[in-house]
Amino acid sequence: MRKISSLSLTKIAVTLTIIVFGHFVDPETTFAAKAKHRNFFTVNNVPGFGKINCLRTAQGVVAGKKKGQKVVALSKDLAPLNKSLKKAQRKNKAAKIAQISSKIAALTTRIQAIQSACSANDPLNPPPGPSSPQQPNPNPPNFNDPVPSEDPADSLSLEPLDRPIQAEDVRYLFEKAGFGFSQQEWPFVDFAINHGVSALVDNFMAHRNELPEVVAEVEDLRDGERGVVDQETAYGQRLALYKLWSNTSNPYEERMALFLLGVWTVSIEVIDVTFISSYWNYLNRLRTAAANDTNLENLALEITKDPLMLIFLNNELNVKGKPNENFARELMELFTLGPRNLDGVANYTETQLDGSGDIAVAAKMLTGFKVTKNWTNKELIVSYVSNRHQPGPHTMFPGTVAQFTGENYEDLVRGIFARHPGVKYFYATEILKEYLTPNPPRDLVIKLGQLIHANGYKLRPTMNTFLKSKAFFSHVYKNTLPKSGVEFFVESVKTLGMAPVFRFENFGWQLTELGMEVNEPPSVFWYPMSAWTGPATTLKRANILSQLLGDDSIAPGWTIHSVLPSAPMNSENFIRAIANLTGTNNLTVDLMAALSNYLNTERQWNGQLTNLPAFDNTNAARREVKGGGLFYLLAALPDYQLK
Amino acid sequence: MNRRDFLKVISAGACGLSAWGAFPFLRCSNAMASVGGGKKLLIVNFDGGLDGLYGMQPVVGPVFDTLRGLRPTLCRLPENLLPVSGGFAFHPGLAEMRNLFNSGELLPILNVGYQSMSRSHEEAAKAVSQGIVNRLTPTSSGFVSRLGAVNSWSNLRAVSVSGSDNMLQGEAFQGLQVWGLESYNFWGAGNASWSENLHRKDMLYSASHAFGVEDGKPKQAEIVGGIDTLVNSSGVVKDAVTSATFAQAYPNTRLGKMFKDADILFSRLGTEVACIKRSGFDSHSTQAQAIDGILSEFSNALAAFVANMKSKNLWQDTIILVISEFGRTNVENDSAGTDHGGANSVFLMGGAVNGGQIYGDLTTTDLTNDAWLPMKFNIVEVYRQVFANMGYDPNLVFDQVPGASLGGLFA
Repeated sequence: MRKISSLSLTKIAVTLTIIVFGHFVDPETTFAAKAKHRNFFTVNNVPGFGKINCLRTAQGVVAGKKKGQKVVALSKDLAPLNKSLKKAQRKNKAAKIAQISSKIAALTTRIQAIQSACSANDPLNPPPGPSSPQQPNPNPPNFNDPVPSEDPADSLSLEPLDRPIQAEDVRYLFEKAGFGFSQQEWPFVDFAINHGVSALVDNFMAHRNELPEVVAEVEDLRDGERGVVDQETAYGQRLALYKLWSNTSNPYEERMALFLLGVWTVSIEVIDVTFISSYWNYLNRLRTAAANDTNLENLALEITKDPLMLIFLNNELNVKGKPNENFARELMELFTLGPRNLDGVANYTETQLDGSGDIAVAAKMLTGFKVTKNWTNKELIVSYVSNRHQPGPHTMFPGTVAQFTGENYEDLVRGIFARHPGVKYFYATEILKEYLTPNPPRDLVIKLGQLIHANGYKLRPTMNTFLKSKAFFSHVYKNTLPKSGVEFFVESVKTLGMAPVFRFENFGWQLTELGMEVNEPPSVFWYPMSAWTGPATTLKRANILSQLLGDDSIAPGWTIHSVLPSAPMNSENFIRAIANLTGTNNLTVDLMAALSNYLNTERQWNGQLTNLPAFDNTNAARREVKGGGLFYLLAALPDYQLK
Repeated sequence: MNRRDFLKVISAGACGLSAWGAFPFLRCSNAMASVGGGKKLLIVNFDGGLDGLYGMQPVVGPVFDTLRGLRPTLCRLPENLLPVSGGFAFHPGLAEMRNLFNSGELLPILNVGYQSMSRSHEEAAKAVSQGIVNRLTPTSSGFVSRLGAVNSWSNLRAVSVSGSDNMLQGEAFQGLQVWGLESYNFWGAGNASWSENLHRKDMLYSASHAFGVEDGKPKQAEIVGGIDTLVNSSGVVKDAVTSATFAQAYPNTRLGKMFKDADILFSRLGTEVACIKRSGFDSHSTQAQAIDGILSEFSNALAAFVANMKSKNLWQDTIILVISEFGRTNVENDSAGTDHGGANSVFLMGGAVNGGQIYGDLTTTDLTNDAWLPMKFNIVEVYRQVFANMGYDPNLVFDQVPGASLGGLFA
């Protein structure tokens, strides 16, 4: 009975809390239990409070305070007061009611102040990705700061950036290491300027829960293309991925998973559609590695045993006495070493007629796996069968500094990582080519390689240092990497504010036109960077933009007005606003003149241009047409196509 | 090279920059219509490493017996093949190649490679597409790109219809690289009006020319050049695709569409080098299952292409060159497949090819001395001979190949 009564009072406290805060705060939240969670963050120097602790939950940001070593939800402090108030009300004690009410009001004010401080300093509020698509940001950051001067040595330095960070730097981080920089992510700029590059990168990389509605829609698209069919399909998987990437609260992790997919490439073309979920499982493996503190060695081991990879590169056929070298070769060439070291010397030897050579030996060490297809449960089951394994001992890289002897796949992978000097430089090169520049300088490859090695091949600490470095933010590397088809499309959907409502299933074949069907890549080499530039690519992207801007069925309720400025302004300011939106602030005098001419003219059937009244952004219809046109034009130019 | 020079090269020949006006597409179309003539080269690249010994194998003597021993399932008996003179036979799916051989219009060249061969797809593909004598002395451009640069070609003179292709890429010249000609077409700017639509296209050109390319940012220049090209060529291509006719219909297959595009390029757009790339040849397991279908697909598309080129009186001036980055291992693996090999067979076809014979020889030693075939002819020498036959000076594009020269490839 007492328990019931206590529970009832708790419910009352919850109700009161809801009234006070206007949203649900879980009274059972124990901050101490969640303090180690990455959604936990602190804010320093809050006027009147000093350091405060905050927790981000699925229901929103919750404030807390420090009590000894234990962090307790401030909102919980209201519970006993509410209980007392209720008791006083039942006994009709007016003075007591007034006293307690006064305390509740004071505490509520205090809680609200702390809550505000948490929210104001939380770079994830509003979270990246979805927000209301109909809320144009009235105060865009200043993306037009002059490019800071830079010591030439900075482009080769992994030391932390020590100059003041600028708005354009924040955009650069999100574009190069995430999926673009939408208006919903602009609050990161203030945070970065207030807290510096280190806090910015920490928060950019922080793990957050994906919004439940995003998770639900991703599953809905994956598993039957939102009800179009009754099973998981390759197309549905791609739709789901576009949904996720466009709306993710974890741009660093998803982008990292995509990078890893480009290294450890697989394709669903090798399996029956019955087992297509094996691709999603594979992707989750990469996503988990990106989210956690996984090191590359353990990831390599996991992937070696993955059923989809075993089938894709034939290692399931690689058995004792009947070697198949496909996976053995790619394990070294594409996944861990590359064919040659930085001096052009081969990292491993080819199979010789007598069966010697590192590829042949590696293939023997990789024998033993079997993949069984369970058609009923739609599962691929991996087992290790000892009589399929070629017994050792096997010696890899004989006569070199990397020489080691081992028995099986685990010895092979661990041996390569432990003994071969090429692994760290291979991954350094891959990371730099993905995140920095197509032709990374040798000195930087060496420095990053040494960092990777020092971090025990862990990606997260390596990337954390790299993304904070002078080299990463060096203007030498800005606008040197073309955006892939996925990056271009996802960024466009986000930039236009369509992401939350975009109906990916209504954009079907246009997505194919992007030339990047991630679960069916053209080969184990993923996609060549050269595929993302050139006239055909530019044309396809212009076509995609046309469809984005012109098809009402793909984003119900969305209009371009949601991202266009609505205040009266002249041509130049309107162009600058769209340039801010698209991150194309390299506006030369000639370009500004050309775009201004576009805003103020209309093309006739015979090609002649006639003048329109001077653009002032007061005519909504003209704003829509010309705003869309400006977006189309600026997004076709190099600043938008490159990162 | 600065941006101006870059654009000059990119745009030269097709549509002069100074000709820009209110009707760039029409103006460009007129300009392009006058381009054409001369020889045509179609490069068919079997991506992934075609097993040349599987496409055309020996069927007589010790070399057949040896191959049969090395490849118990993949080396077929003569009765299951399409025999030709010279002791060889084609895969049963390659009927059109057999026909061309018998009519003296197909010339297989055996054991073609390059110095310092690599078994890495990436390294081998780079060597073959760059056209370098020795893989250890790479360059930064594809050999077709170099040909375009020295001849100041427009982008439409060298075209890939299967997307990005390293042969056409280089700083001084980029051939047009599209995923099928039909897709190289402006859809229009959404729900904007027709005139607004055209206004945006016009502005795309103007805006790109007003963009400030930064020093040391070559990708910026590449994109600006790309906009130039697409504005100038997309309308022309669309017209050509729309108005093209064919005496024999092309199969509705990947290769069928690519060959059809090559037909349009040669017959309507003045293209001199067209590139086709078809993947699927990295046959580490169940090789027959993996590539038999593609070989048939190729043969059927080839047959339609040859028929159409003949009907348009272009066959005599057409050269088809079939290549791959490397061959496969001489011995089949235990998954009924083959692994990465070395030298490979190259196939030359065309009305002027000195065909109906086998160029080079295959010995038992070639099959047993190593895990893969040795190089006897450098692929650069094949390229040199082809370019020379087309009327171009190969010395401006390629290094000299030390040693033996390939003579008599063309009648």
